[in-house]
Amino acid sequence: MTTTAPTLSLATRFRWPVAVGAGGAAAFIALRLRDPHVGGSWGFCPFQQMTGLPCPGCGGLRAVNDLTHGNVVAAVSSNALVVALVAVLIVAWLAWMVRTALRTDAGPMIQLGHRTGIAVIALIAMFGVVRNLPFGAWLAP
Amino acid sequence: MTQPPAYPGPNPGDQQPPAPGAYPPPPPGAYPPGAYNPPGAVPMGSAPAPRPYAGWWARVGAYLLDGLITFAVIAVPVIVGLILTFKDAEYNEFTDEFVADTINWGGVAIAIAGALLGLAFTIWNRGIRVGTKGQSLGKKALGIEVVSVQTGQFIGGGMGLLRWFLEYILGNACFINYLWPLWDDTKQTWHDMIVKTVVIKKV
Repeated sequence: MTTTAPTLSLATRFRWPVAVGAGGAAAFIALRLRDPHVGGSWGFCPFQQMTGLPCPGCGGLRAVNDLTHGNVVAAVSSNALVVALVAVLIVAWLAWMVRTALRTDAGPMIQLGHRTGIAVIALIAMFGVVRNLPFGAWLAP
Repeated sequence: MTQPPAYPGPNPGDQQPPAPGAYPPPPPGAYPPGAYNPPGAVPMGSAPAPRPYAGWWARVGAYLLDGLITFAVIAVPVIVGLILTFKDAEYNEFTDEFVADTINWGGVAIAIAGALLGLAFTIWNRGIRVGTKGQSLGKKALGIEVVSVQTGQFIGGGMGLLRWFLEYILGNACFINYLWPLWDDTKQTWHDMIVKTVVIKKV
């Protein structure tokens, strides 16, 4: 839609990419400073409170904290899906920054079609089921 | 996508021939025939270009505004009702309860009536009105509207009600329903996808 305004300043173009990057960095710092391995330091998962079972996101904050310490193995054993998500987000953000530098209309950071969206939801649901089954116990937090 | 949508995306590469009657006709006399291009439209063509999707923040703003409006509608009966209910009530510290005989049940009735009023208002505002006029009051203030993917027209009161009901269920079950337009290529929530609607900027 920027065909009508092709002369956006660099500051305007980089506004959202920089804001998203700063938000991500702030999340990393917060999870490094307030350790989610301490029970309840970031609250409790309502799903686990009710059912006693880990949800697909459980262990995610601990995984990010492990990543800030460079401990990838511990991070994967806490929540492999969140580790993959963090990697995808970082790559997508870097690509977004490059697009923003090269083009006036870089679009959003991530854009999914409906089929891809359904596939992502299905993957998250499958992860949630498998980590609660005996053969998938290694995926539990 | 098995069939091409009548409401194509804003990207020039996504342009599809619209179904008959998919768009409101241009104002008569204002433009030469076949050259109608609203602001922001991409290349000139025989089909009128689609209006752009509403931004996520506008939708969040409309959602919050609808909440505030609903609160304004029900605030007087609910607050007055609650005050009346407990104004002269006695509190039993041993049972940790109010003494039933001292509660003003007229106040209870007023508060419940206020809550029911809020439900009725929400059903009208977020359901029926979105179907018949394309907008809740909040969406009207933010200049965005809900139209059918296939026809580009409003979806009607019944479908509007269904859309609100699905939003209520899905939004409570999973919060990312509300975040989904951030990365969806047609900026749809799940309840949008189910009833086949898109939220667009009102021209």
